Amino acid sequence: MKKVFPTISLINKKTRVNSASKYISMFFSLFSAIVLFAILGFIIYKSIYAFEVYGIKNILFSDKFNIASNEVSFWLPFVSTIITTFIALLIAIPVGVKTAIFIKFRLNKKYRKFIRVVSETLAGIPSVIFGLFASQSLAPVLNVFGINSYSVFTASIMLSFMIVPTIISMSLNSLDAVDDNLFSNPIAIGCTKTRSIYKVYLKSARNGIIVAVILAMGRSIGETMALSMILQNESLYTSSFNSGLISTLNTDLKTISVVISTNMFGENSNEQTRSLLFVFGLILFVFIMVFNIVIFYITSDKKSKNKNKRFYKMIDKIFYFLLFIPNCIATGFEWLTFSVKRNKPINDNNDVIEYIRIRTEKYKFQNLYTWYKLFWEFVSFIICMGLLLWITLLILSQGIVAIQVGNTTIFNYEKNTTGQSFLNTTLIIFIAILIGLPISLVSSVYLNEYCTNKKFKSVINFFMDSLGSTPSILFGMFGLIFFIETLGWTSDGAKGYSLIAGALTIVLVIIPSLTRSIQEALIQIPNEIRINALALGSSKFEVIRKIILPTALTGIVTSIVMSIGRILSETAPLYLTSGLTSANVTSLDRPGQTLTTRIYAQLYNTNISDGINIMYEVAFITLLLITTLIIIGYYVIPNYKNIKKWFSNKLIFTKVHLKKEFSLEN
Amino acid sequence: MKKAIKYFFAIMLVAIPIGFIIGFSKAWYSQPSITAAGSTAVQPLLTELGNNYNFADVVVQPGGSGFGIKVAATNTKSLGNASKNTFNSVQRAEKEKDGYTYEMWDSYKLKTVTIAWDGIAIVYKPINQNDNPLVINEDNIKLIYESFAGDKQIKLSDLFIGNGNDNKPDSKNIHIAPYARTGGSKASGTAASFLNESELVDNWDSIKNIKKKLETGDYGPYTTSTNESNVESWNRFRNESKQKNGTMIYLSTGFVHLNRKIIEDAGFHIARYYNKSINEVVEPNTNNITNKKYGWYSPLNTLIPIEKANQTTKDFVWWIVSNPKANQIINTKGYSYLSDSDKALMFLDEDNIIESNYKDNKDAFFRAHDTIWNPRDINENNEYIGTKYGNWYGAPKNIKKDNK
Repeated sequence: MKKVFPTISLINKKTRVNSASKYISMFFSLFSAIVLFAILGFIIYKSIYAFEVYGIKNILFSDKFNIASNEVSFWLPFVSTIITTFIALLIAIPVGVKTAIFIKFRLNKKYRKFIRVVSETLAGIPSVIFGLFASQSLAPVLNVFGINSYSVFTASIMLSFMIVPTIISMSLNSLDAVDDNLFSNPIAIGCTKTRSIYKVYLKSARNGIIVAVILAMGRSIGETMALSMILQNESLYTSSFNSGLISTLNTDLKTISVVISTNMFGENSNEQTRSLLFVFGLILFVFIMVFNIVIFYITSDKKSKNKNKRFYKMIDKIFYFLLFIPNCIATGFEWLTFSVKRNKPINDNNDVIEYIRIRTEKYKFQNLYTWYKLFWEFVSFIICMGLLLWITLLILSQGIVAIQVGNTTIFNYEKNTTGQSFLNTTLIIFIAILIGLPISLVSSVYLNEYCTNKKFKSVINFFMDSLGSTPSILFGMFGLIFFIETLGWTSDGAKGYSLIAGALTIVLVIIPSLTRSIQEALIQIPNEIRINALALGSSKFEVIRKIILPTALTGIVTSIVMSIGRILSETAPLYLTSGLTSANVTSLDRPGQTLTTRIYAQLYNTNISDGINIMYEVAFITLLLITTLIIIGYYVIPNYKNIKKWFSNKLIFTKVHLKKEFSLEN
Repeated sequence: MKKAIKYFFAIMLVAIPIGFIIGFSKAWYSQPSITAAGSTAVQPLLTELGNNYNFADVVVQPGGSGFGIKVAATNTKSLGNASKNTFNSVQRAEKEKDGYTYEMWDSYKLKTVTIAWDGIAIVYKPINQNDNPLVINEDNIKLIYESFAGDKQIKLSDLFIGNGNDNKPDSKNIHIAPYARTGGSKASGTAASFLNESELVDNWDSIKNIKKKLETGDYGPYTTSTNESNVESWNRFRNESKQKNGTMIYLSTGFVHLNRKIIEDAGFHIARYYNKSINEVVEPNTNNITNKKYGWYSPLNTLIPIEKANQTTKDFVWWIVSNPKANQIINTKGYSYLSDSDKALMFLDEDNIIESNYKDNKDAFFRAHDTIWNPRDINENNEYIGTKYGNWYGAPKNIKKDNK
């Protein structure tokens, strides 16, 4: 029978594999959903006590903040968060998107990939280093303009530096995914290159850019370590806000995530304080979720616009009202510059053509738009590259000096040495990616390819986006209580710390952003490819395995690189679970310092010059590590075939050569 | 390519379990581990002590004294660290609010072991490098507290009063610009020592509001808040002092001791301290604290639950107390070790331990845990009011010999 009807058994096998993959991926996405809900549940559970003690009135409806005297308004630190995030996004979005456009359209193909790799290196620099950079190197420059070194404004600029790489690389990914016809078609009907980029191409890449902005916003709201090195004041909220925005920008008021992390283990903080901080984390979570929903609705496609026509009409009217004067100015400007007046009324198409011909011929400012856009693109690009050069040179020069001057421990693997922390970091990255990548990849495949329930999908995505912005110290507390105090996965039982607990906690931290960015990479594959493949008789599983995943490889690699960057820059979850100091031996069940926590530990080093030297030495090593990983991600993995070919060619060559030699000798 | 992926997965399937087994398996020369957590002031010292201890792998985590007391009282870590007297916290502990109770403390037989002293030094920027450094005494300490509270500007020259300040510098128009730790003494151990341990204020009534501000960290507009760690606050202080005079900060003496040259080269002065009982002006350094000449210091304690602690932990604690090498490490890190007579106070009175024979009495040391004598015999100011001296909070700072 088999021989007669091979196709039936083949089809049966196909369906079996397909449904198996569907359910397995569903299981994975449910698993990650359950884990995320567990964390949320943990935060809620932990915050109950503070709600009982302080009461909602004290937390949400008061205007005083001093934790020690039980004045715990959420809003005062949150305003500081909003200010820093807003300014950071205000700088980072235009700069990031314009740089992405510059790299994609204006740069020679040869340099495109190189520049991209370079810009992503910036994403992997630990946030502690950014804090160091901002307080030591950026602040003196801003001082020239009369801005305090330790101020909200300095912190915002630093934050914008930190989120620019995310925006650049994700915008580039979504620009790459747009159908190229959308670029050439407008040119064919007479648009300039710049106009076709901005008016057509960019608009179809919009959704990807929005996800990039949400992720960047998440990072800037949840950022703790770098900000806590700049923002140190929590006593002057009321008086600063009363004295106006400009003077607030010059003060060093803590943001909500800094308040959470610095008070979590304050000198006298107890369970009550910690519970209060969980309340803050919870409110922040809810707030970000609402914010994401608003962004989603404002920017959603026209298809869903029809559902809420009245709402969108209102928004359109608001925009019309807001842009009334600028529009008038633009129209007036056009009337002034385009002096050819239409004398006769337009009756037929020929008149229209004539009109357009005259207008294009006589239009004196035709290239103004192009030059204007080009100018800003160039400026953004220069800003990005200058910034990158600045930080890299600082780390390289100071790092080399530190290695030569200090008692360097780069090649030592004993307790609390740079060599050991390097080993620990690579171990944690390896395990976290090994566990986190399959979970994220499979669940994003499910959410994107199999899942037909739109509500389930959007609920999960909202939770992911909001958890991505939750201060990671709360994840660290979850890891501490679950992996260590409950499961006791350390050499010292529930008393100790361990690398494996740290790696698992980091998995929880990266799952939301990793899943979201992989999803984004999958979405960007044109739907036609799927439809065509399905029409040719392949099952959904085959489409995913053979077409979608290979096509999305660059996007997935970018997501992994960004997650590694996140792992490298996380401090709080790691030092809570894998310890701030190392054990004598490197072993998964023992505590271990990572590169970032090693830098953080130097804040408590009593010897100033030693501390600074170690910080720069570690930063130097971190930079080398991230560069190596990025090179592997972008050059080695995609060019695997070529490299293999090259090696086998060499091998054959040597074999032949050797044979010749031997035969000659014989 | 396909083959390569298959091979890769096959290798992974074998390699991952082996890797995990290797990763989890204990190394051949593995040592028992001791995990400590708590005060950020104790952490660097205990880490250094642990690095030099050969019989266990000591891992120390920072996290504040409150956390240190909690982990010791609940036995969630081998040792808990606190840079303050444990008495008040434990007496007021509630299960819900603090995570532990007095009864838990009692049943685990907690012993507070003082491993070293760390002082507070005032560093400030003078107008003139050649001026005499400020001497802190009973007359100007309240002014210093008042300026750190931040509601009123006080002139630097106004501080030069009382004993030891004979040569007043010529700095009439310079106001003090204080740098205090954010969150006040409730959030920072250094701020707590700064406020509570100076031993120069007898009566707080006249500056009640100032004390409250320094406790809660609700500073006025003239005070700049800094982070808890000495390095961070020093960096900020130094950077901002480039533009203004009269800046003043409190730092740990350990930090000042190790970085004295950097501090003085940057043009700062380190204030000295007037000791009334010996009528002498003393420098803030390690020896003066060990000899109890410099009075502005606080204990660095580690807390051990004797009932639950294993032998390794006990051995480590005893090594710190009894081994001369430990004293040497404490000194090189800039802290002040305890004199032998102070160490003898951590034993029971009954055993007749005196400074000459304390090293031979390890058992007596661990028998003397905090609640053998009724701790409630100590009043709010940590003064003993009972008949016998208890062993409540390690080596007591102010032992009145006649009380014993």
